[in-house]
Amino acid sequence: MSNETYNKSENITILEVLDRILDKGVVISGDIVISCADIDLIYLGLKVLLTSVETMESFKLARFNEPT
Amino acid sequence: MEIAAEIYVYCIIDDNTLDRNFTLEGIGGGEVFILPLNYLGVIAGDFRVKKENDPNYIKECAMQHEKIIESLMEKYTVLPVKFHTVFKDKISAINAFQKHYSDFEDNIKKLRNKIEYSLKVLWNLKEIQKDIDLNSLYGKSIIDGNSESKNYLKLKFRKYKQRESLKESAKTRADDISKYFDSFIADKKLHILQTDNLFLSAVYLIDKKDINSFKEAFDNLKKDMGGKYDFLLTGPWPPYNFITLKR
Repeated sequence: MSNETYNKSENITILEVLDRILDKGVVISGDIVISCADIDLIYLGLKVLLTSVETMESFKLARFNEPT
Repeated sequence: MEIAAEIYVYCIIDDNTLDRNFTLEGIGGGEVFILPLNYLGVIAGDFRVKKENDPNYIKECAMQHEKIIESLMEKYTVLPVKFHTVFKDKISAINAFQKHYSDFEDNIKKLRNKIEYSLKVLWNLKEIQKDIDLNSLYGKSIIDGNSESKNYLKLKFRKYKQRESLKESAKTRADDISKYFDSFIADKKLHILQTDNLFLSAVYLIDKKDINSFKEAFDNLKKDMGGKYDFLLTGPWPPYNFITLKR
């Protein structure tokens, strides 16, 4: 997040980043390898460790209420 | 022997030339450049590094991916591309993106000068459950009798009713929270009760000129409801949640 970020906790930031970059935005293909005659998209499918929203709850309380 | 560079794509921007002052390094230290796509541009970089099993490397890549997109967001309208989208070469990348060109144009138009904020709200589940009128939930059982199987069904029914009641309560509270932002947001997406504790997970699309109004509204919300709930507000983010492609 940019300098205007309200909450700068690294753990929360990485969770929020992963939540967005893994399956949102422009998705040209899923977790497959496509190699057609005219397109060579190599989606490497990195082994990213996903953390569920439940885990995010463990960061709650005081940290969530930091002064702005 | 040096590995031939593949092409890693970061995002699409609303310009087909890249500001000369933009000098960020790409993932793996490669150069970041623009591939013109009619009036738009595909932001890409040379890509050689492949340490797929190293979690630290993956984390570093994820943050670098986001950093590049956010740097561009300050000057351009951006459409972020999914993490780790890699092509064999520049021509393959251009061919793949050209097919969706009109979609990209539509999205750029819809999202021009807009960013998103994420708001997660947690409640104290035990307190909420106390407030739910248990008598109204369990007062009249639809299952008579007291056998083992009937008791099992009663328990299942009870859990179902409790969940429905929580959902209803979460929805009402989510609507109350959204009222703080509704007058100036461009769009929103609300997810109710993703977990028992996380009763609202919302993303709001906001014009850059309304960022201060949004922050002010959030401060008011915290002042009014901070004693009841825990809030997590993050942003500004590129508008990931509001991109729609016809597939």
